[in-house]
Amino acid sequence: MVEILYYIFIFPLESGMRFVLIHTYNLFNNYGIAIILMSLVVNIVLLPLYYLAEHWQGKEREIRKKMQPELDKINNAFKGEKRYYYTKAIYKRFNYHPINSIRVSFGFLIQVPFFVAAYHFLSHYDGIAGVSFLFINDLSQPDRLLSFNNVVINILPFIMTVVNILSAYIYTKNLGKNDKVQLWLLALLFLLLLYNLPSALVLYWTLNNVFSLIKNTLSVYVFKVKSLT
Amino acid sequence: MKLFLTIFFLLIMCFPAYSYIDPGTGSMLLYAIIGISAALLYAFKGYFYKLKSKITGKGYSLDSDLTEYDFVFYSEGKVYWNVFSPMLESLDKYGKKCIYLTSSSDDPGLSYKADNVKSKYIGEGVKAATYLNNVKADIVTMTTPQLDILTLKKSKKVKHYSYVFHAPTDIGIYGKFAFDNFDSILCVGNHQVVHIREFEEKRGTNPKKLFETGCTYYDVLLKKEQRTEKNQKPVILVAPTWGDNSLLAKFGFNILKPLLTEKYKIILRPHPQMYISQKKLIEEIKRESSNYSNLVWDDKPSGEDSMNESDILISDLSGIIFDYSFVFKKPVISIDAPIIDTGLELEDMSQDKLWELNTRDKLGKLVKEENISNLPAYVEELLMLFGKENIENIIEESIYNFGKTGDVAAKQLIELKESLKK
Repeated sequence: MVEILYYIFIFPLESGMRFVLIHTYNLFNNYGIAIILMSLVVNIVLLPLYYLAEHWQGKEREIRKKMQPELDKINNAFKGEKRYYYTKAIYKRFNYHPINSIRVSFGFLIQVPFFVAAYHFLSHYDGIAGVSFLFINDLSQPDRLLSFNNVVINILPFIMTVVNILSAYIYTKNLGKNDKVQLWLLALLFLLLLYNLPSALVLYWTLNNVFSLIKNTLSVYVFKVKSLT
Repeated sequence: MKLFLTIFFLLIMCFPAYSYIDPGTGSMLLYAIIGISAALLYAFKGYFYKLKSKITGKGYSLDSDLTEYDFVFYSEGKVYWNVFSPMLESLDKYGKKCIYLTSSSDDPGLSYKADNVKSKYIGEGVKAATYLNNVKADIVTMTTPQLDILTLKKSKKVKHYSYVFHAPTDIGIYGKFAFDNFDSILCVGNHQVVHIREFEEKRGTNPKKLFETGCTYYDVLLKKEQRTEKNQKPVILVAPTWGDNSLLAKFGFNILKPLLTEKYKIILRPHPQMYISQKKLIEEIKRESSNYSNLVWDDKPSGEDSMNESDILISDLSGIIFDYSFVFKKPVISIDAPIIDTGLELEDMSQDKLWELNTRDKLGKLVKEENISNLPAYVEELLMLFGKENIENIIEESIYNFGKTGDVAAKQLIELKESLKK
């Protein structure tokens, strides 16, 4: 079953990534640059879908914002069954169902196969074994750039996190405090999760973050989008 | 199916827990998780309440085909019989077949005899709702607000739902979304029409067909009104509304005590719903007043005997203040206390616009809540000074078709039926 899902969702993407990586490598003869370009291609492919997802999320937030004062009144006045029925009446009037929020996760879901493909591809790709890029000695291993006595520290995941936090700072500029704290915590969580993965993957993901940062910065400062949502 | 999809997506979301996430995606992920949890809880609650009403309404899920009748009426209880009877009488006269469904086993409507009118008891609460939610009919007319909001749903097999007001009171004092889902409404006065339209605009709901009908039970009440001489020692009727805004809920026995001490005969007529929703309060007042022989309780379905016997009415925002004033032309003292609007349509409209607040001071006297200990003095003063001239003007301005409403309502329903055929 998992194999079927793999061949339907992941394999085509993985093949695409392999195609981009091999051709850019042939062009520049450098796996680091090839990974950067692969990340750029993936981001360009995702851009319209991501824009659509942002649009849906914005719509969802707008409806919720309109409904909220009404829902507050209901929550204040009723409990239990009555509260459920009045809430249902409000949802109906606004043509809303909590299940709609799944649509919002489309932006996330569409990225999932790309992540899995990148992970599957780069962690099994023999071409990068022992290959160095800038300060990274071996793209198939964690970078291990700092060491004190017996303690080895990977630097690239921290760079990724700094970019991530910067991007979060810009993204949440017009959002509430809760949104900010949640995203900062998530940045830290992913630092922990990715800390020991091959540096080729961390490099790929760091670049994804850089593109996200550029996208958010352009939206906020150049195109003056009031809120990214 | 929705539940299945929800679980499926939730599983997918857990899958790439190790993968990268950027702030935009992170926000979406969190939003989705919160949303999905809310959706699951919401769906679960929905199934639970559906199951609950299926169990309690078991055996009543009758697939009743009432399409042989031109009109179907539903009354929540016997107190509303006088709202429907004038319409039924006229419809019978015009040869229209009607069925009157009621939730009172001792509804006078059950023994009403007419060639074209049948009646039927369908149980109370969830049982009645289960019956009505599955009924098949062209037009269903009822006095029960909040259709398709609480347990009373719109049956898919009913073409048109019509609401009939049972008091001239404004829409603000009704529960949330009281009229939003009706197709048409038989209105008592222009204030209701104006405010219903305002709500439609504010909420973006479909415009309903609004009829300029009037108050049907005034037809009945006018026939029962007897011109009586004033009592030597004034008889005072105290008739509050029910719920948080009832003067009994706000002041308890304190509202009655100064009057009972002055030896007035007091007829206490709480709103019928109070015996159901505020039982404890009723018991408490019964206990506190047990030593006063000059207090009489009136729990008859209809209040005309008390209205005929008494000289003056003390109330709050109850619709009875208008019945007493418009039909019996006697003075009314209203207690002016802040209105609790929680859970009412009033939360969505300005209190200054509420018709009864702008009208009740013209029916007699408005007494501030801090002055209720002076009620005996106000009673004497008002009985001396009260003039009826104002009342006719208010009726003229605010109530459609006063005294001939039943026939108007019947004709409007027939017109509605014709328009549905087209």
